[in-house]
Order: sequence, then C-alpha cells, then structure tokens
Amino acid sequence: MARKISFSKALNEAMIQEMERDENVFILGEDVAKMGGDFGITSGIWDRWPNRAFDTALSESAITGLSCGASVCGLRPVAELMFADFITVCYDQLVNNAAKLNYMYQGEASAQMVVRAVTGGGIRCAYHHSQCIEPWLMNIPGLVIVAPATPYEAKGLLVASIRNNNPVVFLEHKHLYNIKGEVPEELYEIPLYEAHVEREGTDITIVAAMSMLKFAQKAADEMAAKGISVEIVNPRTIFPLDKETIKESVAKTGRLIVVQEGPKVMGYGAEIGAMLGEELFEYLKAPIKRVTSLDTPVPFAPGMEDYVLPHYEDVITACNEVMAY
Amino acid sequence: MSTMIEMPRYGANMDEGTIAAWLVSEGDSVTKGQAIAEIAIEKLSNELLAPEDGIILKLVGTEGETYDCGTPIAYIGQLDENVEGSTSVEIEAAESGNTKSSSSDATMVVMPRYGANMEEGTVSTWFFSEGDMVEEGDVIAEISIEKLTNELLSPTAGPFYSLVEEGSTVKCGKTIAKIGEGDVAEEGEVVSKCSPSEMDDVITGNKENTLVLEDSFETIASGSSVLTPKAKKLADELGVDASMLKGTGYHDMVTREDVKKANEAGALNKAGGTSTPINRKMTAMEKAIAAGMYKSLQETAQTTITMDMDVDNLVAFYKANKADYAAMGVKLSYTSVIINLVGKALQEYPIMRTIIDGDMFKELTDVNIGVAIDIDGGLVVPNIKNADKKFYSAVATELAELANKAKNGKLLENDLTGGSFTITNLGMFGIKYFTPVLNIGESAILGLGSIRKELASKKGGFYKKKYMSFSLTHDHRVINGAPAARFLNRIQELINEL
Amino acid sequence: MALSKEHLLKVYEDMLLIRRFEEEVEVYAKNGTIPGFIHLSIGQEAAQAGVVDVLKDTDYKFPDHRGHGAIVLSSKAEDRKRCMSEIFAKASGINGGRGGSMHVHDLSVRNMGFNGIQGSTVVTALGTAFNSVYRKNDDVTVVFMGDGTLGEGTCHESMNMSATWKLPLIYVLINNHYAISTHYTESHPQKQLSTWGLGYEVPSFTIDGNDIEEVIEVTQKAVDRARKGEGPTLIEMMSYRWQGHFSGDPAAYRPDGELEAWKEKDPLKIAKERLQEKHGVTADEIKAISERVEVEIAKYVKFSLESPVPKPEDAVKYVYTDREVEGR
Ligand SMILES: Cc1ncc(C[n+]2csc(CCOP(=O)(O)OP(=O)(O)O)c2C)c(N)n1
Ligand SMILES: [Mg+2]
Repeated sequence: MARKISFSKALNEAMIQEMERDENVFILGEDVAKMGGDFGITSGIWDRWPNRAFDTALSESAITGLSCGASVCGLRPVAELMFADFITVCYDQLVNNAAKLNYMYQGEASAQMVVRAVTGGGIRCAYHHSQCIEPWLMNIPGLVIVAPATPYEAKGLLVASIRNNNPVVFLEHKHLYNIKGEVPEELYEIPLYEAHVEREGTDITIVAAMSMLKFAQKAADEMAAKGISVEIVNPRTIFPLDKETIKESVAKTGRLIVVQEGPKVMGYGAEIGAMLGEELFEYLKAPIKRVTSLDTPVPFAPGMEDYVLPHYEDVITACNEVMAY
Repeated sequence: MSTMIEMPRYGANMDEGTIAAWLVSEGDSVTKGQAIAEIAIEKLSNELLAPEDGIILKLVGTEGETYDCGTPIAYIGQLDENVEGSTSVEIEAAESGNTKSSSSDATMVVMPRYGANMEEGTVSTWFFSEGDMVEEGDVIAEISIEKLTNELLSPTAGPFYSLVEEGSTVKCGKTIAKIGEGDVAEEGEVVSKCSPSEMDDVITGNKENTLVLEDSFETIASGSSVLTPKAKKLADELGVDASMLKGTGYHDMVTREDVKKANEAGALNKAGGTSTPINRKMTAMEKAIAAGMYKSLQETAQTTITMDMDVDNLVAFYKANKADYAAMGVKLSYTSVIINLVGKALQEYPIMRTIIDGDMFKELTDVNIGVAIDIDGGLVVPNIKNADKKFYSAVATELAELANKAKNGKLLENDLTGGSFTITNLGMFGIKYFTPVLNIGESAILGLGSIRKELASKKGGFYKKKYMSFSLTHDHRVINGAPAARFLNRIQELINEL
Repeated sequence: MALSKEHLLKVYEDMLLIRRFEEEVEVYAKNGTIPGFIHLSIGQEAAQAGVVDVLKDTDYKFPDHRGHGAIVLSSKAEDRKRCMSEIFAKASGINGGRGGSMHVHDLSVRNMGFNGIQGSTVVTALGTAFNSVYRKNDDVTVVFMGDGTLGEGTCHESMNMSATWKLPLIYVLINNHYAISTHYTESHPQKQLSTWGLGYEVPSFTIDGNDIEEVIEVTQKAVDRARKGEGPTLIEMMSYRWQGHFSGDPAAYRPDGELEAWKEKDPLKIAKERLQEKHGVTADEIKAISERVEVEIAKYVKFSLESPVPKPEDAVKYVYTDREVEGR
C-alpha cells in the first residue's frame, strides 16, 4: 500500500473503476463531462465513455429527479452538485423522492444514486459556497450521508456508496481535495454505517468528521504530551450514525468532545450529545462538549471567516475542561 | 378369531339402538368390561362394555346411526387378525396410491426457528397423516416451544410424510417431515419425547429461580471489576461490595443495574439460607391468577359438558378460503374461524353471557370473546370485542395482534376487560377434554381440544372424519345443562353451514 | 381516427370502471372509512383511459394526484382490487398501506406512483425516459400533470432537458380549468397552455380531453414519435372535474351553470352515444357492460372492506434497503 495519491484522485479513480465494473453507473451534472467538473474530480471519464458522462443544464432538480427515475430503472447515477449549498434547489427530489422511494415501493426499487456534494468553508467564498449542509438532511430517514476524511476513505466510501442501494449524499470537503494519502490501486469498499476508531485512548473521546479530523489528531498529540490519552472516532457515515462505536468509546473514556465545522445548532454534535445523554448517561464523567462554528452565515472577509469557523485552540480548551471537571 | 360385537338388547321392548358415541378408536386395546360405546335408546343411554380383552379391530357402526339389535357394530380381537364378515373397506385414495418412488425431489420440512433464542421445538400435533396431499401454506403441524405454540405451514404441495412422532422435541433445523416422494437425507434427531408440558418445566421451569444465585456465585471467581461512575455512587449508597461483581455493561463494566441485582441477591441469600428450598416471591400476575382461580371455583356452580364436533366442514372451509385471505395479508386460522362462529352462537344465546350480579341476572350485551393466552410467567385473557360483528379477517388479525402483544407484555387495560365469554385451547398439547375454569365475571368458558381423525362408517364403508372435542364449563346457577348443550349443538350447526 | 366498435366498447368499459371506482371511493371517503383526503377524477375519465389504452405495460406512467383512473387501468385485472384497498389504508393495498390515494404504484406495470408534491414527478420522469435512451430501447414515459402544476419551476427544467436530449417523454396536461380554486387564466399568461411547449420547440397540442377517440388518436401519435426517438410531446387535454378539488370541497368558486354545461360533455355520454348511433350498439349491450362493471367494483369494495389494517409496527420497514430502523 505504498502508493500515495490525492483525495481528488482517489475519488476519480473510484468512479472510473466502478464504471469499468458496472455499466449501469453513469455520471451527470453541470460541467462534469467535457470539462471534468469544476474541481476536476470527474476528469477523464467523458473521454473514455462519452455516452456515460452527461453535461446538464443548470437544473439541479432535473439532475436529481432524473437520478431518482433512472435508479428505479436499475441504473446507478452519480450526480455532482458543484457546491453542496445548491442542494436547496433540489431539496424536494432528495427529501420527498429519493428518500421515500424504497419505502413507497416496499423494497422493490430504490433511489440507488449518489449525489456528490462539495461542502465546507475556509475558501473565502462566503455563505453560498461554504456551508456544511449535513444538518439539513440529517432528519430525513431514508437518506444516507457519507463523509470521508482521508484519500483512503474517499475511494473506499465512494465505491461503497455507488454500490449501495440507498440514496447517498456524499460530502466532499474542499479542503481535503489536495491532501495525499495511501490508497490501494485495486477496488475496495469501506462499509457504510461504520465509524472508525482512528486512535485508541482512555481519557477523552473526540468525534470528528471530514476536515475536523486533523484538529482532533493534532489535539490528541498535544494532550498525549501532557499524559492524557485521547481516543478519536471518525464517524465516516454521518447519518445514520454508528451509535455503538461511539458508545463503546465514551463508555470507556467517560468524556466526549464533538468537533464539527458547521454551526452549533443541530449538527451531528447535537445528535450525538442527545443520544449519549439518553443512552449512556451513567458512564459520563464530565459534560459533553461541542467545538463548532458560530451560529452565523459564513462571512466572506478572511478575518471574519476565521473568526466564525471552529478553532484548534477550542479543542484543547475543551479537553482541559472535561479533564478538570 | 375376532369377536363380533352386536348392538345389544337391553330389554324386551328394545328393537334398535343408536350409537351415541364410540369411546374407543380402532387400534385401541381394551380390557374386558371397559366401556367402549355409549348406546342411546329413546331417552336412556347405556354403556356398552367390552366382552373380552383385545384390540378394537374395526368399528363398523357409525356414531349417530341407529341399528337393529343384533347388528354387528364392532370387532375385537388380536393384532394381525382379519375382520371376519366385515363389509368392504373404503380406504382413502391417498393412502392406497402411495407408491414411494426413490426420486429424491421431496421437500424437507425442518423444525423452524421462531426466534434467535429458540433451539428446539416440539411437534405437538400433526394435522395430516402419511401420504395425505397437502397444499403449500397448509397448516401441517402445531409446534410448541416453551410456552408458545406456532402453526407450521407447508412449504410446498405434495404428499405428506411425518418423520418424527407427535410429542417429539427436535433441534431447530432438523428434518421433521417431508413433502413429496423420495429419500430423506437425515431425520430429526429427537431430543426428548416427554410431553410438551413436561418439557415446559424442563426448559423454563426453575431456571429463573436459580438465576440470581448463580450470578452471585460467579462473581467470586472473576477478578476485580470496573464500575461506571453512577454505579459506583449507587454501590456506595447501598453498601454493596462491587469489587468482585461481573459487569454486563460496555467493556464488562458494572452498571447500576448490576449493583441493584447484586443488592437484591444479597438480601435473598440472607433470607433463604443455602440448603433450604428456594423461595420465590409470587409476581403480581401469579398472585392474581391464584386468587382468581380460587375465587372462581368457590363462588360459582361450575360444571363441564363435552361434545365431539364434526369439523370436516371447518377444515374444508379453512382450506378453501385461506388463499383468499392470504391475498389480503391475513393468515386465517382454525381458532379465528371458531371464534367467529362462537360469536354468532353467543349472539343467539344471551343466556351464555348472562351473569349473576347480587340478586339480579345481568346480560352482558357485547359479544366480547376472551382468548386465554399462555405467556411467560402466567396466563392472560385479552378479548376480541364484538366478535360476532366482525369479519373472519378482522378476528384473525386481531387474534394475532393480541397474541403478539401478550407475548411482549404490551396488552392494554382495554384488551383485558369487558369480556363476556372465553375460549381456551389445549388442543395443541393433544388434550381432548378438560374442565376449564370460569373467568371471573363470566358464566361460560369453552375449551377447545385437539383436532383428530377417526374412522367413521357410512353405508357400510369406512372413511376418516375429523373431530374436535369442545369442553364447555358453565355456571349452573345461570345456565342449565340443556341450554348449554343446545349452545354447543348450535356451534356444530354453524360449522356445518360454513 | 375513429375507433373500431370493439375498441370503443373496450374503452367505454374502462371509463365506466373509473367512474364507478371513483363513486365508491367517494362514498367511503365521505363516511369516514377512507382516511385522509381524496382527489376524484370523475369527469376526466376519457383523458386517463385513452392515454393508458395506448400504452404498454412496459411503458412508464407517472399518474398525478387525481390519477386513480390511470392507476387502476394500468394495473393487471387481478391487482385492481389492491389499488382500492390501498386507498382504504389496508395491508393488502398495493403499497401495504404506506402510500394511500396519492401514491398508489405498481412497478410490475411500471405505474410509478408518487405525486404528493406538484411538479415533482415532472423531473423524476426524466429518469425513466433517460433510461430508454441509455439502454437504447423504445419504452416511453408519460407524466400526467394539471393546469395548476404548470406553475412549478420543475416544469421548465424538465421540458428544457427532455427537449434538448430528445427524451421519449409525453407530458399529458389535463386542463380541468382549476388548481384548487384558481382558474388557469388567473395563474398563467397563455390563453392556451399548450403554447408553453413551443418555446422549447416541442410539438404541442390542445385537444378535447372528453372525447376518448381524440385522446387516443393524439396520444398514439405522441407515443409513435417518442418510440422513434423524436423526443417529447405536450398534449393539453381540456376537461373538467365534477367534484371539488378534494372530496368534501363544495367548490363554491365555480360560476353557476359551469358544472352543468360540462356534464353535457360527459365523456361517457359522448362515447355511449357514438356507440349507439354509429355502431348500432343496443341498450342491452350497454346494460351488460354496466353489470360486468358492477360485479367487478363490488369485488374491489368487499376486498377493501374485509382486508385488515396494516400492523402499525411495520411502519419501520423499508426505510433503508439494508438496515433496520428502531421500532418503539
Ligand atoms: C409543491 C406543491 N404545492 C402545492 C400543493 C397543494 N396542491 C395539491 S393539488 C394542487 C392543485 C393542483 O392543480 P392542477 O395541477 O391543476 O391539478 P388538479 O388538482 O386540477 O387536477 C395544489 C395547489 C402540492 N401538493 N405541492
Ligand atoms: Mg387543474
């Protein structure tokens, strides 16, 4: 497993290899074919399969609607939302169609589609191109939200998402596109609905997804130097959550910090906190902490944006607080 | 030599008699002087006694039929004897046409697994005999597991062959029957052959009583344990030494629940000592049942009458209609059909739902039929409201729902109150007759026995008939024998009219 | 294109079946047996029966909220009772009681159901039409929509894409004049709604939606075009719903006399007169059809009434294809 490639390349490879394997897989979206996507993630696909890569009009409803309909016919669409923020103009198709098809058809057919959505802030593009949209979808049973944090996960989780028969919103954080990591050349799947313990520890559990994972890792190193052992859980699938892995970890450490890039209200941190309060109360040694953005739109000016997004120092503060409690 | 038994003459004036009931079946062995039939002459009935020891070879007389005195009605003798002078015997087609080929396309029927915890089950009744043709979805057996019973459906159509006897307890997944001709790979290995009710005790019996003690013994062997923060607090409060407890929480941690249990077990140990009998406090349900049963028998004049119902028509109705109901998503069952019929009869016989209240007779106007359901730790009798007004489908579904709720402890107050009559079924255990105890606040309860096949004769030939015995307990203060008997007869009529 | 006597007899019976189906549904909706609200299509039978008559079982159909007729006629004869029992919220219903009136589907005949969100299926239908192109077969897709639904933005996205990619998609726009209480002239600039298609260079027609012969003729042309890969067609079918928007709506917004005038143009009456006058069909033959339909409908009703309700706890099934959702 020596080869190191970027997160973007891993995604690209996942799609190409799945398309080689399964001719029901096709890609569609704005500028995904000839140009290879705004972020270049689909490059090279149209060149190989001009009849399986489609540039669409600016029509997110049509893109996701078509994906629903084509899924029911047995195809496996992989649609790209250039920015996850645009999900609002095709929300109906995801929420009212994709998430309900299997239920309505009682298992006979389902929206076996993937919507790749480019998410997250920090690129100085303001509130229409920087939001973390997972909370907008987290209370829609029937949908799956997948959130890779490394190139290895990018490939394995995208392959699993394409093969999965549920509608998957696949979140790609802009900041991760260029990071490099070891990625096997062959096709492989990382199972959905399973969180991954990135690092074992006994004193504090930090749950962190996507770009927040690196905060957690750095904080774990820093705390280790002080003799505090941090366990890191990366959810990988944000919804439905792998409650068991998180519970096992927190039962051991008795302390939980959730790091999430979006606003504090109603993120995965809120869900995990509430769930543990209900189901694991007796194991807790300290209050649950959330490190998040402020509850504002994402502003444009770099100083303002940095102020709003979560800070690494906040993670350290939270660690100290739960240990001192 | 077999001995012929004739219609007896009990007096000079007697010319003919009616076989009211056969008390034995073919193949039964009898001893001299044993009653083998009930013979009715006008208003009287007499028992016909066996003239010698032997085996009942043939019952040529049919129940309900009247014969001249001196007409042969049965033969008694030793095994392998032929019946002399018996008329030609009609044998069921399936039985004679039963040439077993060795082509191995028979479908195996295995002991099903109804839940993750089920390891073995008991075949309490086979509903078909060797070689009978079955349809896919036919109820072929009643399987009992601990306190529950389930109907086993045929996976396919074809001739049926059982491979284990009724009453056998078999491991899940082992073959217990086959549908179709052909060889069987492996037969169910019979774990035990004691009666299902005995099995109940073996399987569930005293285990619960010893559980707590076992737990506390085990802890001595294990090493020191980790407590959750809240468990530690509780252990301190209760003064429980938790250092040796075995935890059931995440990472085997000791939880609040574990501490509480250890605390209770400690108290129990002290109270009961070690070598004295195990005392267990009765649960609320057990107390209620004990009190209820006693009260019922103390305060009413209970008496039970029984009747063997001809249920051929019921079986035919079930077979003819089950597919239609399956299309609606309803699993029709014999019990549900009987509940419907009993509902109709109850509507016509208000006396059966009349109770004594002080010095008043009180008629319960709603036909709400209770069904006794055996559950872990007791017995519950939820009732189906207005059963007389409901479709078969509605009764079948409600029955399934109530059973399910009962099993999961989810019955509501409303499910358990307002009953006006009760049905209880022990047929799956092979019980024919019993004396059910009245449910408090009701004047009658009907016990259903097993469905069984018996030979009957018609026009000199024999054919198989299906019977089910109904045992009706009624409060004689309200319901006299005759109305009770008429009520049973009405049910038979309704079965015939199905 | 005049239909043969046999053909006209067959679609007459189809229309009568819809009429009687809807009348029974109305009875049980009004007496509370059917929960929720129901949109009835009495008065619009020709548009539904005519379109379904032209389609094969392998063509994709997206009925809309007023689509009981199209749903029932698309179904196989033996499944029609299950369409009704679904509306009755019964376990035997074609969706097991999960969908109800607005979501009756049957994938075995490619009746795709789903239509609670106006304008939603208009884009979903792109997918099944796209599938025919992707797999190079000649299945066509029909999406039903109302005059009011044309106000949804998805209609633009859909026609823009289907016209650009020449998808085998037929838009059947049943113009029954109202979206709830709003007359189509109050919500759209066009006098004739089919002109909407012209901007996308899509062949567009406005026809008498109560004349089943005309419905079949024009639908057949559109289907032929689609099968040949010539792209989408828009057919506006003028019609009128006799009942209110939902069962129970008194429809006070209609001017006096309007309903009566439309009842004169009853699609069943038109077809019956033609059968009698042009094809010499006798009153007895017509009566025999009615009797057949009555027997059929009686079966559906009995089945629907007798079927049990679904188990509440089954509500947690089928949320995901591969994992369980916690029950209570
Ligand atoms: C997106 C959306 N908006 C509003 C509604 C509520 N609604 C249901 S039917 C309807 C009117 C539809 O009118 P039309 O398309 O003409 O169909 P018709 O009812 O006349 O058959 C409305 C407003 C809805 N279901 N979905
Ligand atoms: Mg309208």
